[in-house]
Amino acid sequence: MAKVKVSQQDKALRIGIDLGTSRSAIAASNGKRDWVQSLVGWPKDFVARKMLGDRVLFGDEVNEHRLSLDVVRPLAQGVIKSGTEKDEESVAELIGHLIDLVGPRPRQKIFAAVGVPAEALKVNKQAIREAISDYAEKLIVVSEPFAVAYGMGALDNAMIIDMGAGTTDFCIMHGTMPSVDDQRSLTTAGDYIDEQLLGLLTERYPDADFNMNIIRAFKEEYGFVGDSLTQVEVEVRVEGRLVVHDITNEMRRACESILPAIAETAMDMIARFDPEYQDQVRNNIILAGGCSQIAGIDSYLMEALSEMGPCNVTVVDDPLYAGARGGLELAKDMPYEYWMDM
Amino acid sequence: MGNNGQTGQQAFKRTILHDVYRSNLSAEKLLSLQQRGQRRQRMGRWVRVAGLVVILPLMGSGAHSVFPGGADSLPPGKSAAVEIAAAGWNSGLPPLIDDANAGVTSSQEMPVSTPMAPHRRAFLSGRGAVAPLDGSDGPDEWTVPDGGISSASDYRVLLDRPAVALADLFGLEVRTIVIDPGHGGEDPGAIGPSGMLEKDITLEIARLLYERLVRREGLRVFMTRDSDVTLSLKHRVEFARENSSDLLISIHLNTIPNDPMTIVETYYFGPPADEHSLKAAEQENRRSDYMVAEFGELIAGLSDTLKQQESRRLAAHIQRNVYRTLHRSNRNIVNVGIKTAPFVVLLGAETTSVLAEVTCISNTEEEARLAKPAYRDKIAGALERGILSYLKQSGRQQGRPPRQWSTTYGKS
Repeated sequence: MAKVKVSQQDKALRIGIDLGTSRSAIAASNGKRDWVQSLVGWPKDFVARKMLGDRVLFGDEVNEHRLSLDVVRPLAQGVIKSGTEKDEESVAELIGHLIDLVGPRPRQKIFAAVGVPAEALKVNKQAIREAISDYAEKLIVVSEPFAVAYGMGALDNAMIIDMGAGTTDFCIMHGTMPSVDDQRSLTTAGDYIDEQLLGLLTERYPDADFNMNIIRAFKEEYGFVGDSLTQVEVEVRVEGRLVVHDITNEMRRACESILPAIAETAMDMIARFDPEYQDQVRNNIILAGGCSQIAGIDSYLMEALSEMGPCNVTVVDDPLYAGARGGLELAKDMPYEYWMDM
Repeated sequence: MGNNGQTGQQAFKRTILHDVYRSNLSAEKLLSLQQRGQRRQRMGRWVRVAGLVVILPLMGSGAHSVFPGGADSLPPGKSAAVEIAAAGWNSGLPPLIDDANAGVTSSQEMPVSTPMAPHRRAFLSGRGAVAPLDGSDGPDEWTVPDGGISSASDYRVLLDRPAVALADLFGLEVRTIVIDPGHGGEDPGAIGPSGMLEKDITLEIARLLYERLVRREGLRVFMTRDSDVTLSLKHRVEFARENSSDLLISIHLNTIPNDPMTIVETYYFGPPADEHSLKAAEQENRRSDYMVAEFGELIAGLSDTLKQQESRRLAAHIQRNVYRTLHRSNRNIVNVGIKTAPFVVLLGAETTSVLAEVTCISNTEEEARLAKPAYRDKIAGALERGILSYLKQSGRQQGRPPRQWSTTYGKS
C-alpha cells in the first residue's frame, strides 16, 4: 500500500497556482511556469464565433478581442465571481488553461496548491475546490501572502504585504499557520489606483481618450511614489490625434492614495503582535504582488513605519511568480497524507 | 549554528504543513457541519409549521388561543395563514432559506432583522405575509402582498414555490441510483457517420459510470440494462420504481443531422423549451410502450415539485461537469445548458431524474473520440462528478457507514 502511495506521489505533477485578481501564475514540478491575465472571454454571438471559433479565450487574447467577447474577470475584487454560469465556469476555465500551459503528461495526476486572495480563502473555498476538481487529484488551498511567505522561507516573525489588484492582503508569520488575527485584507489596491488615476487625468485632460486599459498600462510602466527624478509624459489621443500629456503629479497622487491605509494597517497589526517580537517583524516586512513594483513604494512605507522604530521593507525579486513558486514549494513539501482528496 | 538554523526552519515547515492540512481539513468539516446544521434547522422549522397546520384547524377559531383577540379582527378566510405566520414568528421562525443554488436567502429580500413586536408583524415566506394581528391596538388595515399566503389552503402554494427546496426541507437523501443506458437491442438509437451505434456507446458509458459509483459508500447502483437488449421506456421506468430509485440518469447521445456542431445538453422533465427539445423528446419517446390511460396517470403526477426541483439541480450539476470535461478535449463543443422536455422516461420516474445527451454522435470527429475507451471513461467520470457534486452540494448523501448493498444489474 505504501508503495502505491510513493509511486503516485512520484508520478504526480506538483503545481503551485497563484490565482490573482489581475494576473494568475503557475509553476510546476516539471520546471515549467507561465502566467496569464486573469481574464476569460466567450464569443458574444454567432459573428464572433465565426471569427474566433467557438472557444474560450484568455488573457491578452481577451483584451485583443474584447469587443467581440463576453468578458469575465473571475476574481474581481479579490473574490470568486458568482451569479451566472459563466462566472462559475470562468475560474475553472482559467485553472484549466493555466494547467495546459505547463503541459502535464496525458493522464498524469496533478497535486495542486492554490493561493488565492485572503478574502476568497474565507468565502470561496468550496468554489475553488469545485473549479479545480476536473483537473487535479489533490488540492490544498492557502492565502496568497502565505504562499509567498512559504516560498521565501519567511516563516517566522515576518510580515507579508501582498499588494494585488483587487485587495492588499497582510499576513504575519510566526512559525505556524497564520490565524485570522494574523491576516487582514484591504480593498485599496491596484484597481483603486487605476480608478484614482483615471479620475484625476479625466479631470485634468477632459478631451483625452483615457480608458482603464491605458491607465493600467501607464501605472505598470510609470507608477511611482515620493519624488520622481523625471517627468512622466505619455501620448494619448485627443480627437483622434496623438498628444503628449504630462501625468507626473496625477501618477504620484494616485499611487500614493493607497499607502496611508496600508501603513496604518501594518502598524496596527505589528502593534498587536507579541511585543517581544515586534522589532523582528518590523525588520522583516516583505512586499509582494503587482503593486510592489511601483517605484519607491518600499522607501515610502519604510519611512511611514519608522515612527514605530527602525524597520526594513523589501520587495520580492519576482512578484509575478512569488505566489506560484511558494505554492509549488508547498506542493512539493506537503506529505502525501496531508493532501485533500477532490 | 547553520545546522541548527536549518533544523529550526525544517521544524517550522513541518508545523506549518500540518497547520495547512488542518486548516483545509477543518474547512471541509465546517462545510459539512454547516450543511447538516442548516438541514436540521430547516427541518425543525417545518416540523413546527406543519404541527401548527394540523393543530390550528382543530382548535376552531384558534386565534383566541394563540393570539388573544387577534382572529376576530381579521377578515374572513385570512385568519389561518396569518395565525401560522404569526406563530412562525413567535416561535422564532426565520424566513425560509432559498434554494442553495440561488445563493440568496429570503432574509436578504425582506427587512426582517429589526426586532418587531410579535403581535404586529409576521413573515412566513421570503415575500412575506405582513399582518398586524392584535385587533385592539393594531392599525386598521392589513395586507397580504402578492405571492404571500392568504389562506391555510395556500400553504400548498408555499411548497410549490421553486425557492423552497423540498428535499432540503425534509432532509431527504439519495441512496439508490439507477443508470439507464439509452436505446438497446432492436433500437439502435442514433447512428454515427461511420456506423457507430448510440446504443453501444450509451451502454459502455453506463457501465463505466456504474463501476465508478458502485465504489462509493452508501449507494445502491443499478442499471436498467447491461447488455444489448430491447427495453421499452415503460420497462425502464418500472425498473426504477421497483428498485425505489432516488435518482435516475438516462444516458443518450445527440444527433444533429447536416450540421457538424457538437452540443452537450441535459434535460429534466417539463414542457419543451424549444423545437429542438420537442424533437429530441419525440425521438427518444418512440418506444414508450405506454397506453393512453396509463399516460394520463403519469401526467397527473406532473406537479411533483420535489422531483422538478431536484431534477433541475441534478441536471445543472451534470451539465456543468460534462461540458467542462468535454470542452477540454473539444474546444468547439457548445454548452446548450439544461432544458426541460417531455421525455417519457423522465415523466414516469417518480424521483429525481435527468436525461443527459452527453455529446453528438453525428459529428465525425466526436464519433472518432467516442471510439476511444479513454474518452468514454472521461464522460463517465464527468457524469460521476456531476452526480457527486449534486449529492454533496445539496447534502443529499450523508457520510453513511459502509453497507453491504447488493449491486446486481437490472433486467437483461
